[in-house]
Amino acid sequence: MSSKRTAGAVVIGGGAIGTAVACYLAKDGVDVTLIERGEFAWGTSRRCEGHIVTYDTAPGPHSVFCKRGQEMFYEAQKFLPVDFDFQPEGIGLLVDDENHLETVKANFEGKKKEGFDVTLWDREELKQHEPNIGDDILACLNFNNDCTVNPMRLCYGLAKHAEANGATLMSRTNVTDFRMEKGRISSVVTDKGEIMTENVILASGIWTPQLGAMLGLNVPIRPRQGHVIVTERSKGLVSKAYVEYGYLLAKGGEKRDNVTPDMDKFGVAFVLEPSSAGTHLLGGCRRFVGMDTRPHPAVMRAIAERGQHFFPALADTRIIRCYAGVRPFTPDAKPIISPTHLGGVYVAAGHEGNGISLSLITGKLISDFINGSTPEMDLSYMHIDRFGFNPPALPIGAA
Amino acid sequence: MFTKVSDSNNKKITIYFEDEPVEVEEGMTVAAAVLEPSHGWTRTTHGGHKRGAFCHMGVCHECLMTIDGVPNQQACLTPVADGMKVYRQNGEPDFHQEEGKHA
Repeated sequence: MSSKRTAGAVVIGGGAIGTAVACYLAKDGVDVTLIERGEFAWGTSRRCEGHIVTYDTAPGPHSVFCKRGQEMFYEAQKFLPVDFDFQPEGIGLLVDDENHLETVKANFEGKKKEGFDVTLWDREELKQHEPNIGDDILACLNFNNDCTVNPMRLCYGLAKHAEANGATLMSRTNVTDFRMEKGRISSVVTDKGEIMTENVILASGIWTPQLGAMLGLNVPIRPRQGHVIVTERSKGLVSKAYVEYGYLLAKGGEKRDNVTPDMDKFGVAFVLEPSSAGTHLLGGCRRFVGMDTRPHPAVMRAIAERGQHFFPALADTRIIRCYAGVRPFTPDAKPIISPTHLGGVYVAAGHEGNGISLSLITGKLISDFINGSTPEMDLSYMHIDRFGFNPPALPIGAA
Repeated sequence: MFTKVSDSNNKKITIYFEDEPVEVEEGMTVAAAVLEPSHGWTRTTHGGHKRGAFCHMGVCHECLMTIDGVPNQQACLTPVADGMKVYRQNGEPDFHQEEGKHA
């Protein structure tokens, strides 16, 4: 095919970030084309749990950013055309180690100051709410506005809404080249024709570095693998989603001495999400094993063991599936939402483990960039310039 | 669909399907044993639809039943035993209702 089309903006990547970027651009009146190599929600967005979280950021600017990102989901469920299993039950952060209590309490106070709806349960209160909780669990910090969604349905909803607002959706489309004119992007070449455009958003998660390389842009994202175990259906195990405090340590790559060597090695930390279908999604781990997405028996065993430590009743539940995916990890664990040194080229990627949570706010920010309105918050900590791998980026508006 | 080929000399035992005694032959599977009394349905889905043993070889998981108090048992892979109590499983098993199992 050698057709030529034009678009106000081309978004590359059909996961949670790409579909959200396309959705908000289209809502804000930009003529968008959304390109996906496979089908929508084909990569990391179908291999994850759908937590919309604020539990994994310490109080500070990024915590407030995550909170805003979360608030957008309460709005989005009203206008998105697909029911994405929005469950605003809150998420509990479980503590099983005395040494962590102080940090968690400080977290609780800090989050309260930032206006979060948080509550702290001691062991007895936790036991009342969750009769199946393990005996060694000391406390639970509840983030009452955290919620869960079905990430695939979210992507479909965002893509459909973009389409309803005039976006062109192109699945099964491979980007083969970019054309530049006078330091600005001028077109995206695909195996289904060329699209003339002045704005390109690289929103391909873990595959973003490959696209960056085609442009001479260094995007420092590495794949960090995770596993999700799916249990058979059951009722009455838990009333909402839970995660352990150790999840934050595993995410930070810190050594943990209160878990088995295997759990420490694989970065295993407990996450449990009841799905609307009656199954439970049990995770997770963090491993640097390249692009390997094959479930590993030793990792599954460690995840299952960790799960039973928090909810011993899981021992009576069979596993029906397990899948692994790769998260887009950045060196400082913050996403890249940024213009670049190439005119008209933007990056929205690297949301390791927070892509679903931050999808909507990322979409809104990119739309603001392209519409030339400067966001009201300081986004420098998510700027690609912080790594120093590329020439300085163009300012918003000039890009 | 199913016809019994012949009577074997296997010992007759009694199992209880939904509290009703059923005389069956030793060596059968639960799924086969309850084919008749269950009218072919052994469970209901999450959405309340009837399901019954389809493959009889442990693959389809359509014959899940509660056997001797344990939910989610594949009836087609479970041999009958004298005095066994078998119930249809309606929707997902409930962790709150299984006596002693999750204490």
